[in-house]
Amino acid sequence: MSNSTLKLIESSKLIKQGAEAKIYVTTLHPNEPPILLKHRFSKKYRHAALDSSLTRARVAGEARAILRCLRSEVRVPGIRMVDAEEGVLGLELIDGKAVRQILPGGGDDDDGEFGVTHDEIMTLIGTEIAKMHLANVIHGDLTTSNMMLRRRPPNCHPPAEIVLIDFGLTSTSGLPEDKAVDLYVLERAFSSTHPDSEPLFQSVLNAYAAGSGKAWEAISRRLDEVRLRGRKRSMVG
Amino acid sequence: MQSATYTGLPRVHICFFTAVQNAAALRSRLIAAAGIDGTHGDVEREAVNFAFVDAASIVSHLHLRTAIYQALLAHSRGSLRTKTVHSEILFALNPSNNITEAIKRFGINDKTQALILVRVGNVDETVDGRAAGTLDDNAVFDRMKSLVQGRPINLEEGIEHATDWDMVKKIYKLPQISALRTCIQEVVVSSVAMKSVMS
Repeated sequence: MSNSTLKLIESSKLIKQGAEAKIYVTTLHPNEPPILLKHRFSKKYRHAALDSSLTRARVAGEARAILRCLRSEVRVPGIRMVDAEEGVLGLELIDGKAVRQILPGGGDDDDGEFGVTHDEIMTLIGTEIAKMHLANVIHGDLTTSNMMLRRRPPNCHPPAEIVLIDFGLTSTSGLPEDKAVDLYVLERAFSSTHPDSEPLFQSVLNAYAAGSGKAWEAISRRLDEVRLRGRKRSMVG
Repeated sequence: MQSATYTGLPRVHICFFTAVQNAAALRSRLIAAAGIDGTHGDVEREAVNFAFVDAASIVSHLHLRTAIYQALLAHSRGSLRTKTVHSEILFALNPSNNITEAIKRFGINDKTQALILVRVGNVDETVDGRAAGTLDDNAVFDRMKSLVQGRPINLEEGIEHATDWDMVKKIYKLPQISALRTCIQEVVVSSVAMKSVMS
């Protein structure tokens, strides 16, 4: 019975591997749907003491960001278990499709299976990001791969919803600068992944503006500045 | 009663009782058991060796399961914050680190009508905390039934009808006007799951 979490991982199915973590699908409880495990495995190139404290801090940071979003009714996967010592975070498994795969240029052909137009998807994205920023959560890695489209129960309008995922690089900030950079990262992700997507991204911004109210003016001004100089602030002068 | 085994962790037994008649007596028996010396004390403590959870503060099957799982993890790590794995379940449910408050909010009280009994493991710990034998699942269930004067019913259905939503909102500091129950359930379950890295 030495380490139950590692045994749980051994019995789970690996579905994705990144540089920072491995993603598994497993079943935790009887009579409950399967969950996703994000294992930040130990990095042998780091000193053991530093490795465990960094891993612990990142698992904790991700969990806190998610709870903050949930409390503000931003749609994100719920937390199912935390084992910070092992670097394991258990999350609700989102049954849907990455926005990246739905938009042109992202791989799959769109078959309209979710019953929403591309423009409606953009509006959902903008609204969801606005809600997240109102809670002062800065995602840090907004791309079309980190947004899932999920079907809603029958007779709901619209018939699908956007769920934001991967809060591994998330921070909290109320500054228009950080929110503008978050949007800028998404804009670059759009233009590099999906050809001719400028009008689509404009719909995201329109919905974002509508959703963020008075805060929009300052963020919009910042976004123009960020576009001129890039994501990093100039350190000259 | 539901019994389940978690990978690498002890077996867990859960039973939901409705229309409970003897909550006050059970509670005083629990308190008294803690203070009895000698072998008689060991026997009495083993007889009430369960987590007694008031179902009014539980929002879903997943809520209870999540708290049990996090308590089992702490137990297997040797990092319990309370004295036993059963009290750790009540502690895991409470968003703050105050143990007395956790027991008051989630444990049995004199007015409890819907009660959930949880037992971790199948070992009878009668003598000086040492294993005096193994109980099979039915023996655990029989012990639960002999303790509680109430009707055992299906766990999921029981929880669904017992929840006191106003109290839950107060405990987890959710806005009183807050909207959908599914949203509340999600915040509550996630809070319990991440308690170990809360602050």
